[in-house]
Amino acid sequence: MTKAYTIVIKLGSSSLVDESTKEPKLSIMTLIVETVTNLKRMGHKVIIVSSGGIAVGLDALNIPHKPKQLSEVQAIAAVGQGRLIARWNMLFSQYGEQTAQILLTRNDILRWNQYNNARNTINELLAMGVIPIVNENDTLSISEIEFGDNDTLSAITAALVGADFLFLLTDVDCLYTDNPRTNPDARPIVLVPELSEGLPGVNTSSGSGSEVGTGGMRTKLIAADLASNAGIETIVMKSDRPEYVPKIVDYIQHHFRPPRHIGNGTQQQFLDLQDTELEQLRRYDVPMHTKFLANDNKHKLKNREFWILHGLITKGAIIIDENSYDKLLSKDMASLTPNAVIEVRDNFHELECVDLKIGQRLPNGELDISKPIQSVGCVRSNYTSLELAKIKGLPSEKIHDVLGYSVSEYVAHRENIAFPPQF
Amino acid sequence: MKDANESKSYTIVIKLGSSSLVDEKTKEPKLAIMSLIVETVVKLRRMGHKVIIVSSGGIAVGLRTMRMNKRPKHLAEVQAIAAIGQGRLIGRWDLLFSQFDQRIAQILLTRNDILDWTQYKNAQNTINELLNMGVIPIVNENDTLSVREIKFGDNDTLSAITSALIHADYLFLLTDVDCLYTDNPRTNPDAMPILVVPDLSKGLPGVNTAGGSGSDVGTGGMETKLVAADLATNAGVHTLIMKSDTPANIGRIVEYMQTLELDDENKVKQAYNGDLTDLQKREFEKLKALNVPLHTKFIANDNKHHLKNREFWILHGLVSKGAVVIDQGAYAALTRKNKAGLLPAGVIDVQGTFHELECVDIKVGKKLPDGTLDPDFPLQTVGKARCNYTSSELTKIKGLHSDQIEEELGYNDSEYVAHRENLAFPPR
Repeated sequence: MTKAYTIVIKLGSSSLVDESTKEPKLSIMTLIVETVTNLKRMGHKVIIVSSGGIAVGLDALNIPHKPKQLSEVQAIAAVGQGRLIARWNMLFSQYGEQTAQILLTRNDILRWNQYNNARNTINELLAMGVIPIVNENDTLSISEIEFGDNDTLSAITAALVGADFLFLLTDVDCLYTDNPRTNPDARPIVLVPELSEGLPGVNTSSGSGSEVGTGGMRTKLIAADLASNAGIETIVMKSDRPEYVPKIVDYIQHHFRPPRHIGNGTQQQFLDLQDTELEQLRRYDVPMHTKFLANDNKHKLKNREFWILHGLITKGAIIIDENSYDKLLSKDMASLTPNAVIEVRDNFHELECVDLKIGQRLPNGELDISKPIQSVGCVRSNYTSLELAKIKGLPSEKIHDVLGYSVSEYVAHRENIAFPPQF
Repeated sequence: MKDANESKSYTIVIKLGSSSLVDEKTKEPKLAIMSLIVETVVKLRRMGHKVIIVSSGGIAVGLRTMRMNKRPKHLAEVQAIAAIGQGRLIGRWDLLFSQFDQRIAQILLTRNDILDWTQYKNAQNTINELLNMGVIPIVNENDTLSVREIKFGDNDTLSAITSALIHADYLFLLTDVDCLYTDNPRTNPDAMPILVVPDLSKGLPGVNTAGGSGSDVGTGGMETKLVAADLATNAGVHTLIMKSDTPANIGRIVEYMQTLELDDENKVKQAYNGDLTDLQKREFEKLKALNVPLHTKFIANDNKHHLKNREFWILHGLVSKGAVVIDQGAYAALTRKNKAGLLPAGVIDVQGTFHELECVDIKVGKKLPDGTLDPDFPLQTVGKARCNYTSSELTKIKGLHSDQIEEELGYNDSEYVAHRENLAFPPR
């Protein structure tokens, strides 16, 4: 029985536009179109996250270099994004496939109902057999509401729709222990069971990059971390061979066996694991790629948890004590009460997202600033920063006395608290 | 003066409804009209004007692509269809404009994108940059992502906001009738054309707008066009309604505008005594003599009475989250020219729940001797404000002097409830 997957394929600018001439790489785009068509015929659902609007706009306007002024860059993106979607549409039409254009800013997912709305729309498109092509709405994004890079956008998109796989296509065939262009001893990394443990023996500071795309390997690792936390397998592979995607999917479906032990292990164990997996790839004639395994169901973020942790913008912080944190982690679905709060930082409104941090209390109830403070999650508080500063450390029944009203006995309900997966 | 007028270059926004682009029954694209629009726009550009298109039709094109006869009722389905159609429609525009070597740009807006002043100005800068590059921006609502509470409502309103955003000179609303009439000319043969409206704020005496135009594909009617005209004229943009199936007439109307003396429109406005009928007869004779196509022109407010950028943003770019009720004395002080800010002493009541710097209505009410709101006095909405305090804070300090704020709240963000720059009133 062949399983049907939801697959997100992320393409960088360098996949679509020649770095020097800024001309479109029509052959690669066409290969991608054929690949996506094949995946659909295999029964899978496919979403493309495609940057390149700016690069296409530069070509359309005969501008040699990306300008520095924001409004100029955004104007160019506005020219390019219309042309790029038209190109996709024209190519996919040759195979009888329909595309849909989804342009997102972070504003579009800041509210839970908008996040759900975007998910419903994309899922509706997939149900119709349409291929959604997602991009950041670059024309309108100012720095404070940018996703930052399309790798992050692709991870958020994958989590939004509950995808099974996220393919990050780039200009190297996989992650290496070092830059293979400068270090001939660099070894391929083909399997990462647990990205949150770090990558022993791997130098990621000198990532790949190009003038057209600003993404590097570091953003791919961030995207892989986001995606695996949401239960999505992430694959990094070369962009000029998109037809490898179905071969890799087939391999994972029929031949791949997860490693028996948990985690990455020591550096030697990690490198041994690479050799073992590399041998498997050779045996089944599978192209080179790096596979980041998803967290299992027990440790994966639910939709709403993911939205709180990664869909929202953090506006401040609430510092609580260790005991309260332990209670929140326990399975009795504890909520956060004001007596747990030691300190409040920066300004935020009710139900805006804030960092949750652990600190230590002095005997007088104040924060011990000599002790390190650790971020452990995110919270949407029922009270503003000003209100919370007044009721911190108090029992819930005192809220009304201090504020003159009581919105809730809780600072945050459990459904508005999210932690990264615990191991 | 005529030569000088002829060389005037305008910024022109052209709003097209779905019925301009898609056949109502077959849902097939109206490529001929689209091509005529393209030719018209290219010609306007060559005349030295800057042009922006506000084009709906994404949903209609999506319906056609998916071979669906009717618009679905389920929101996710409608939005999915919009996502399919908008990519295809922009491709169509790009293909047509490319025949004339003209570049276009796609601007997809939700109201979210202009809720913040920085973002409002950012959108303005981007569109102006496109115009300076000689590119034609094609603006549409980002239907795929808009939930009800952040919708513009209709593309006529979107076109008016776009016009104000970029300080356009003219907004052309293309529709399926050649102008506004005193009644529906399809059902009333005595309906007379309305050709010039000097002051929309004085209403349209003798005009029945209840039976507006409409079509299955487009949800816009004449009512939304009047709302758009009101928004645009308040922002200093002349607004014209004309027939969509002869877009070449835009060029002829623009040429006619260029022949007008600089003060012609202001003279018509100042001479207007509320008698709409007589004015139409004279305007009709003038258009007939000059062989100018039928259209309705709503004359913009002059510089003294039109909304500045930020005032427009506060009044029409933001969503109101509540209301602050003030007394007549405070209102009179605010509307004097000494640039007063709103003090807490002027506040009688607070309605709804809002954060600081969110937008709220300003209403005028009456204070009872004990300082509370007189419930029998009808409240009148007179403008909007972005307050320095939240609704709960303002509830505590209403009616107080500014020097009592610290004592009451424990802090003092400002002596003003709202600074002058965060207040906006419709032109009077």
